[in-house]
Amino acid sequence: MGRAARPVAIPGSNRAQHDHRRRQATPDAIPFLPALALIVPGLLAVAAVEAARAGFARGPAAPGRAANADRGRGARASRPAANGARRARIAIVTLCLAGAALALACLLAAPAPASLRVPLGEPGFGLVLALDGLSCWFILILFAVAAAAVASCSEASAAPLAAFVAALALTVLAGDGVALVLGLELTAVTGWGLMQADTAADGPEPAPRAGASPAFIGMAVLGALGVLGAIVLLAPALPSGFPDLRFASLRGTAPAGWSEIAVLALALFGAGSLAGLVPLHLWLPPSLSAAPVHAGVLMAGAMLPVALYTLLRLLLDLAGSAPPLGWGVALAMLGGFAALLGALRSVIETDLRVLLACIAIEQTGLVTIAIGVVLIGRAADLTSLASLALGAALLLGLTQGLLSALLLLAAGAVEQGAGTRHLHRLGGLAQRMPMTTLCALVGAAGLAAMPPGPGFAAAWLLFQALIGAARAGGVATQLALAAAAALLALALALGTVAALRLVGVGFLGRPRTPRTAAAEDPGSVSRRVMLVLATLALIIGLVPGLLLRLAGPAFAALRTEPMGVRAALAGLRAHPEQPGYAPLAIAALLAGLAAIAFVLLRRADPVGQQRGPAWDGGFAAPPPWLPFGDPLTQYGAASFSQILRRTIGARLLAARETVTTKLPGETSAARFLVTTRDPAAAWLLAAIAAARLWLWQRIDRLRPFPLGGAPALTLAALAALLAVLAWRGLR
Amino acid sequence: MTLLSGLVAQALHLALMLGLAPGLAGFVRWLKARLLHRAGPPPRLAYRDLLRLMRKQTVRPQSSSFVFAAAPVVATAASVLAAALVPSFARGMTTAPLADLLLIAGLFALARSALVLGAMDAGSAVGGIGASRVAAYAVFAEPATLLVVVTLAVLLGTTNLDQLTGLLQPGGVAAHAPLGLALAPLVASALAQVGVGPIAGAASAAEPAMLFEALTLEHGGRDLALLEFGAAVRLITWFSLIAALFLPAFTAPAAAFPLGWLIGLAAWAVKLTVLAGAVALAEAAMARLGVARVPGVLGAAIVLGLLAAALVALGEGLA
Repeated sequence: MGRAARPVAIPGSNRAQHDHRRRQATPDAIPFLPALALIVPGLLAVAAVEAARAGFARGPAAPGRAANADRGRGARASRPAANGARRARIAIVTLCLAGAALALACLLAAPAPASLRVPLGEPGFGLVLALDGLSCWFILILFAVAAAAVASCSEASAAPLAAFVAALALTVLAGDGVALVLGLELTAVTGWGLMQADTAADGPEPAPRAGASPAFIGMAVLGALGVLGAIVLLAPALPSGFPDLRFASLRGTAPAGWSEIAVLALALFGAGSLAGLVPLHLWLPPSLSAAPVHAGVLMAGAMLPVALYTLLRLLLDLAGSAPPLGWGVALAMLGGFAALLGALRSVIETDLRVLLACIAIEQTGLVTIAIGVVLIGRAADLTSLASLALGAALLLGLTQGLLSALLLLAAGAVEQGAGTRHLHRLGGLAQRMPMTTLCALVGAAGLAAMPPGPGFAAAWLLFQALIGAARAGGVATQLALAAAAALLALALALGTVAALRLVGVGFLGRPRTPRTAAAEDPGSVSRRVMLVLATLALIIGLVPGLLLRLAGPAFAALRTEPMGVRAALAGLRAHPEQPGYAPLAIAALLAGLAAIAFVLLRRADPVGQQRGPAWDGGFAAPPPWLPFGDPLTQYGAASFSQILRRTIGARLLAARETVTTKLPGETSAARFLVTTRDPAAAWLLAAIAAARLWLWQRIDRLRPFPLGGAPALTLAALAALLAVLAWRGLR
Repeated sequence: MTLLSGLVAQALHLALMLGLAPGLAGFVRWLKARLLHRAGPPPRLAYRDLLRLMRKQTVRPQSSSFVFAAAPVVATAASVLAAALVPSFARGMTTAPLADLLLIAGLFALARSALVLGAMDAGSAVGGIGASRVAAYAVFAEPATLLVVVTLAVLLGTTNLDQLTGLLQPGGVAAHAPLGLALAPLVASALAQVGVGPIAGAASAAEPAMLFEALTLEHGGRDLALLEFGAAVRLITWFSLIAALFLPAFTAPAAAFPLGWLIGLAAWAVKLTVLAGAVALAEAAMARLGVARVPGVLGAAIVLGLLAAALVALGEGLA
């Protein structure tokens, strides 16, 4: 009985300790956390009001056919309903912008880490919320992307979006294991809701939905359980015997031996499954493909950075005090493989959103390399190396969020404007959708690590960190890190090809279908949101040093030396006394040279320019019934990636081509089919299938179990229960 | 004084790089023809081609967009910037602090990407073939370059090209034996990224065999002049880059005016001639590799780069 009474006592002791902490916190830290924490219930309230309004608007009209009416109603909503939805969206965007501004102010003010106890449920129980530099950085990304996604979402009901953002914000603001896991589980549930919601906002082509949302919620819930397991293993016991799950007390523990390996593996599994880390990435492409447009933007632009935050928090803050060197090297190699696999798949995929999901998988791999190098730096006691790699991770998180959101918004605009999301049906959008093309170009160049874009700054830091790490270790470490550098270089080069293919096949050239030839840019709001995101991406590329200065509190939160003079307005440096990468100067020189070339080309041209039919190797002009030429003579999505598919793809992805030709006289079309198989699917799914089969066979054996055996079973269960109780009593 | 000499050296360097670039490309072409017992076009034809193109009207395909018009500008600007950063005869020029090797590789990638997008924007079949080949070759060539950069940086502690040339100065690469192994991947990578040599050189005028020529097939007039000039600049920049890393002897500090400069200029001319001769010889002696074989050759270059990194690691471990 004494044991049963204890849970009530624990939170009390928690509170005593917590009050003690709060008295220690500096006073200027106090306003940020409560203000940010208030945005979460604010978002939930807007979501509830909006959901109720939407339900009310739908309910009395046709209660029996609500499900059927759902589809058309988004488009043909009555005026008051549309106004209500608009007001709700404005409220959500305002809340998100306020949150982003608060996070920015918090980063600028750099207050001491604060925590806050939210009483919830029974008296004495509660969640602990906390705010430090790392959570500030990622909540800034989260709210900025969320504001962009909700602002540009014109038709969908905003309620599920708001609930999803609230769950993500709770995950980032969590200050104990309960809040973190609650946030992750809520993310899973609300994300699942998002994927179910609002098919009316989808493009004209129905997305392949089968199996996507169960895979998402399954991976997310399993991941949250992994996080929970890692935290429980880490947690020190309170006097009552229950684990103390607050982050502050988790930081003090240093697990050793098997428990350390278990903690690291569980943390990697838990956070990695939500971040799409290979081999746990299989759910991401179908989920992003099946989700409605703005849900996809939020999942890639906001949820993946939050998953990266969880990864950084668990691996570098809570469990990363002093892991062995080999762990960091292994992580760097794993990240290299993940980046390579994601980049390779993105070169081969033809669905715009699947392609973008694969690029996101590559980015997660890059962040994993950076985390590995941070751990190497800690193990080898090289604080400057750790901060270099952490800078790369933070920049990658930012570019991942903003650029994924930008590209998915552009993909959404293409789906709406051109009526398809398949590369082999697109083309020629640059003339019909110039704004979308420009934004996609900026986003793709950023992710493809083109100087002086944002991706190049992050890739530069990552290479410098790998070089520094190779100098830190012995021969084996050095060899492994050279291999990781090779994988990174290969992944970056493949990522460049994927970006070129995305823009070149999808947006440039001639239209491949008549529908594409009638494409249109999206409405003014979406255009402006994309332009703002593209401008932000350009700014990140120009002043990465300033941003890493801004992220100084995040370095402090992970107990890493800040970048100092190595991150400045002028640029980034690997060593304080050596020259480094100066994007502002490079951009200025490039712009100057481009201006000279342009003047040479245009201004002093005596003859002038003109447009004419393409030379096309001297072939005759297309007949009049093909106003955009023969679409088949243009290089397409499959042909552009042919060389890479046949060389690397055939080995790594088991890419196969099937050509079905027809005999003369047959009227059916010839077919060309490319199939690939993700190596993770080969063994992961096979293992799951085998386990399920095994389980069902065991369960099947119970079917002929005689009814008479039931009392024996009950007795056995009772005996087992008594044995457990006796064992616990003995302890 | 150093500021002034750095500035003057920079100006002279850029003028020479840009001025000699078409001539060097013409020289390689001429040398190859001579080696094959043909008369060959004289090297000065490259300049006259550019001048003639400047006088022609620029025609752009009807289906092309702003990307097609911007491609020559971006590609040439990135190439010229790379040329400004790679030292030729003198070290310590004004842009020396900017001359990061990773950045230079990035600028080459930027130029190539602009070319590829421009070719795809024309919407013609040959441009697509060329674009896909050039992009695929780069996937294998870039890691080879970057591995060489990583190897150099692990050994010498910096990725700045100017500092590397200075550090390699006294004994050249000979002082660091493992680096000799890094020459092959860098050269293979360079040959795959410029339009000369046995990997990606101009094989014939037939469109199905085209690589870099296919990228510029739809451009005309001043656009084409700019593109050809950019290609020539990339060639001389790659030659100078290889010379700066593997034949670094006799490059003068910018302050060593005038004797050091003269020696440096003479040495640079000799290095360019030697490299041009080697490339022309290789091009004359070998047929161009088939498209299907290039990934294998460049993959071997990546492996060699890894081997160089491994040798450096072993050398450091034993030392």
